[in-house]
Amino acid sequence: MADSIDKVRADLEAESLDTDEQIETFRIKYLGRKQGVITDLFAGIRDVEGPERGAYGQRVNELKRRAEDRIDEARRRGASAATVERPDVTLPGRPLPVGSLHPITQTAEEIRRVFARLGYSVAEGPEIEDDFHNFTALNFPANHPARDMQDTLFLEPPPPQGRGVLLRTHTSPVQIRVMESSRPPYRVIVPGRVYRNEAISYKSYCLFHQVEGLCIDEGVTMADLKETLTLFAREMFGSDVVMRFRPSFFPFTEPSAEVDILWKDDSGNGGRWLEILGCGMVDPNVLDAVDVDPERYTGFAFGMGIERIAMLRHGIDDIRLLYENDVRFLAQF
Amino acid sequence: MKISFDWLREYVDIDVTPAELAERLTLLGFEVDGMVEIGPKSLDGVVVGRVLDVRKHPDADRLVLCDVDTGTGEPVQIVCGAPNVAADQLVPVALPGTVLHLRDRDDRSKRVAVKLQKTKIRGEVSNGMICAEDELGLSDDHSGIMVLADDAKVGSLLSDYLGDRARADAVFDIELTPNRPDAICHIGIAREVAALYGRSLRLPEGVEAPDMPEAARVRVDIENPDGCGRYVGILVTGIKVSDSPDWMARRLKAVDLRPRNNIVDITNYVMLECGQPLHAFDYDRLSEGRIVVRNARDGMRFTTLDDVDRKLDAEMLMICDGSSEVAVAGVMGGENSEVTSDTVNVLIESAWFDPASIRRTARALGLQTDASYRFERGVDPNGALRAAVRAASLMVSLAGGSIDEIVDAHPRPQKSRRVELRPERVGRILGVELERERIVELLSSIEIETSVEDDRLVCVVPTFRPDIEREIDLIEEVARRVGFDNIPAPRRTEIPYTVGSRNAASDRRYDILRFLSGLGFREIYTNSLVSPATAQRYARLLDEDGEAIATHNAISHEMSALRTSLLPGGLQIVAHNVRHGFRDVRFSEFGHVFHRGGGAGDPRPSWVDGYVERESLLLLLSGAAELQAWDRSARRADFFDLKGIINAVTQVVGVSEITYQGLEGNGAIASDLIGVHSAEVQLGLAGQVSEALLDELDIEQPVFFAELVWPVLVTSATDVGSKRYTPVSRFPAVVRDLAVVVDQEVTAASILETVKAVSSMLSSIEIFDVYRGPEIGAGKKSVAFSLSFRAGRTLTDQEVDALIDQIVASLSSKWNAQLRAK
Repeated sequence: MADSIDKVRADLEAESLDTDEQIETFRIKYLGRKQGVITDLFAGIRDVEGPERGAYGQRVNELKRRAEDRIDEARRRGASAATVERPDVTLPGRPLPVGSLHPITQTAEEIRRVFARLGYSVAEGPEIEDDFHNFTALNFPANHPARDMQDTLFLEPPPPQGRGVLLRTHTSPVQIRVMESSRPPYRVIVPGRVYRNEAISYKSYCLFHQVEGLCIDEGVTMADLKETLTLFAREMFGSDVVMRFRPSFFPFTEPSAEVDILWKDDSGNGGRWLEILGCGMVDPNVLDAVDVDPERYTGFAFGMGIERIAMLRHGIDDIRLLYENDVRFLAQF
Repeated sequence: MKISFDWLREYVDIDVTPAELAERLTLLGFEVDGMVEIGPKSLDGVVVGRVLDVRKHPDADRLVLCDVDTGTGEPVQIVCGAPNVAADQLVPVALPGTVLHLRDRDDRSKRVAVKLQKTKIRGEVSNGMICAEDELGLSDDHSGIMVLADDAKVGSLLSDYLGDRARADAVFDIELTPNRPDAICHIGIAREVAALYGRSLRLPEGVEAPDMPEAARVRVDIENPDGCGRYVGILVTGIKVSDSPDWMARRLKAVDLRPRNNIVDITNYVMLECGQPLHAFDYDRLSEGRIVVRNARDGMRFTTLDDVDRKLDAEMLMICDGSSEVAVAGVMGGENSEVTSDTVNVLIESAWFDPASIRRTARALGLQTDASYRFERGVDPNGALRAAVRAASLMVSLAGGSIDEIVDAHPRPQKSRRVELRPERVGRILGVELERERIVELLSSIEIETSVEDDRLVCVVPTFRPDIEREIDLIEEVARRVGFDNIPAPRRTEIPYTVGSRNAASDRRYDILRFLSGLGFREIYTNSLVSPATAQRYARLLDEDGEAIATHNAISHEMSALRTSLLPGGLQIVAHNVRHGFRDVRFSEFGHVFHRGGGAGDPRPSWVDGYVERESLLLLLSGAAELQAWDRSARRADFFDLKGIINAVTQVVGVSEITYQGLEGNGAIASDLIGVHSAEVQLGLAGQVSEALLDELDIEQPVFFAELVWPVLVTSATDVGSKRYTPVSRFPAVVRDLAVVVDQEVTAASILETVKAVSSMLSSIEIFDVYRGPEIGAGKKSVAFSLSFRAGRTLTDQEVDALIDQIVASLSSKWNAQLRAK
């Protein structure tokens, strides 16, 4: 036994340790977990009988320390020697495919999160709508010029057999669906795709996305509407946002307003007013249409174009880029 | 709508700049979309001069030297480049020191202020500039210098000579909302401006109808009084058709209306003044001097003033004379009764037509005119007579005629509407408390008179405001006059004790997009409108009975159907990017797809009967599965990368135990099509896009896709809250590898199914190798898998050996499998 320890000792000292490879071979040969020479010697301890066992164990331990020291020493030497092969850490990492969320999704999600913090939940509805939900219940009288405000795409078959089935021109019909299916109070936002029969150009596409909001309860006033949208604009465009509410007209709200924010540009005259959303107090006719008592409940609705806000924030000047889906565009978001 | 600032000042005093007024109008609800300043900014320093002599410039071919008398007694030399300059002309001369607003050389739409100086041009002294109309801001004409008429006085100021022609103006482009027919004219806007600044409104004088004997030469019969509530006709005789005076022509041009002749211009002028559309007939071309208002006969034809032959229907209201149609009521007149240069007697029409009827007719004819635009919004039923008299008076003074007869057929008189307003309701809607007196004052500024009854205000609304019918309409007027910016922010607000409902489809959609982004997928948005051929071709991919839906009034043929699958749109995006050299792509899209059907007895999701609508999730994978790196080459994605992704996605959504089943059909779209299932429910499908389809799209690399029906996926998912914990076994698993040789046709799925059926102690099974080779034998393959066994105790080797034997036996009997290695 003692002989074998001496022999191992002699062998171990004779090994040359100049390269990483030699060090690794050395480590495995002597200290390898499965068949290392010294590891085997340790296993042999239990075969040594009587008082010799202690001394034997001590010598094996010394041997192991010596082997470890040689490795450490060799590694230290290696670290200072330039000849030793080391990985070039400046080589690039192996690439993984990287994905992205479309800017429309990102903007919509940001809008949703602001309103979620204000206690709004999300409702969604169909893109194919009937005339009642898209127009009539929203106080668009038949044969009224208000219907011209939104160029509508109708589906086959046309009225009368088709009963005026269309692609929704706004997300407002979901207001009606929400109010038809539950009782007040309401506090919902409705994101979704809407359609307009418009020629495609850099500033308009045949479809776009809106986020609609509805808040109805006892005692909700236009002051609440202003405050809610002011809080929203501060979250979305920064706490120093300058905004204005100006009177407008939508059949389903009264009073109605459009909201502009002052968009800083390099024109030198302080910026331009840019419209970001439409809003108003829900018209009593709309509440009547869904059997909500307008004397008891009041509230507001608002709607904004997601593309418009996304384009504003990112400086995108052509709406078609959003639907072209070129990876050089998508990769920027 | 175009509104001239200068014209507005005819009716109300304004002492702010056009830009300031534009801002205030916008905040009042009349959004000024653009403003164009016309006319000279200033003509200070521009005088009338006479060209005494024109000589060649010694050093420039295109320039001449002019001696010009500017009234100082001492002629000055001016260098000029205009082709039309000649001796003896009277011309405008800008003297040194004058500021001209010249067009920017780089951007001719802009003007820059330039101060003229005495200068030398190519060595010759020039004491000012002989100007073109464009350089003075008088017009866009820069073809040559402006040559003045003989009555111009040398040395006098050009602005004195030009008088009205030198007047500056600003024209607003107002985006008018459809609820304000009263404001489609200058007086309407002036009324708002007067209320805004607390000024009084100056209406044109001489609009009261003079007392006339009963008409004998004109007769008006209204056969459809619902369609035509009032018809005023005034016969003006002895007129002379000629050009309009400058002031009128200038105003019409300012608002983009081309002057025609004094008669037509007057009808337009009065319409733009007070909002009442007028029509002038050549009285002598009207048979029997009669006007009959009645509906058209179905299918008859009529040629309108624009020289278009139009087909009429029985719902269209027509103006007829004693024998035939002479105008489409409220839309456009006819050629047969048009005023010409020979006209001497004119019948002015000023009527009230039913808005819905006019709108219907205008749409049916595809013809929107200034008249129909106003009628369909609702003109003042009590303004017809005043407007007609105003036009007649102008014809008398400008065309030399006299008012001969007035007929006022008025079968449906309309009274001012009375609307009640509860002052406390104003606060409940606006959130700002207003005194009753304040409300009264605000309403009275726009001519709404109020009286108090009990606690309510009874408001009398003038007939020019058809939009005010209800209490809420009055509250809106109050809000507009208070100013939206003056509604204060509330200090606090009540929030109801409710928690909004969760929307799993929406929440999970965002979560899964995030996850897919982590897997390298870029989210895309594509058009839902596709060609009918595309819609039909993919109609049965997701819906075995699928039929495409067409749009009725398509934007174009290529966008005249609704997509039945997200796949074609996504493939276009793959093609686009591959074409641009981006070959390693992964795309995801959420979107709705549409099919015919739905309704009673049809289980497919539908909100509107006859139309099925589903939300779908598309995954597209093409190019590398593993990207090339400095120590390895790229590995191309294949079918099994796609399956791995589907497994991961469904697992993240919360759907466990996905199975796949081969699907028949649709070979034209996809090869290797498989259905993706969870329990009994089909979640969607996946496959490799067919070669033929890729050829069409010019994509020269395999593309893999999956389309999953999102609501089905979401409802198949286990909610986190309902998950139950299973204790993790304290006992070690026993792992064994096994390889069997089977016929090529035996599928992996059937082997796995057979193995799984043997024992519940089998906790997992994974195929780690499939091999074909000569040593296995022709038509055979070796499948190697790793098995883990687990139980609520430590399993012995003997137990596991027995299970392995059972598995081998079962595979052998079912699939004729030979054990290759254990």
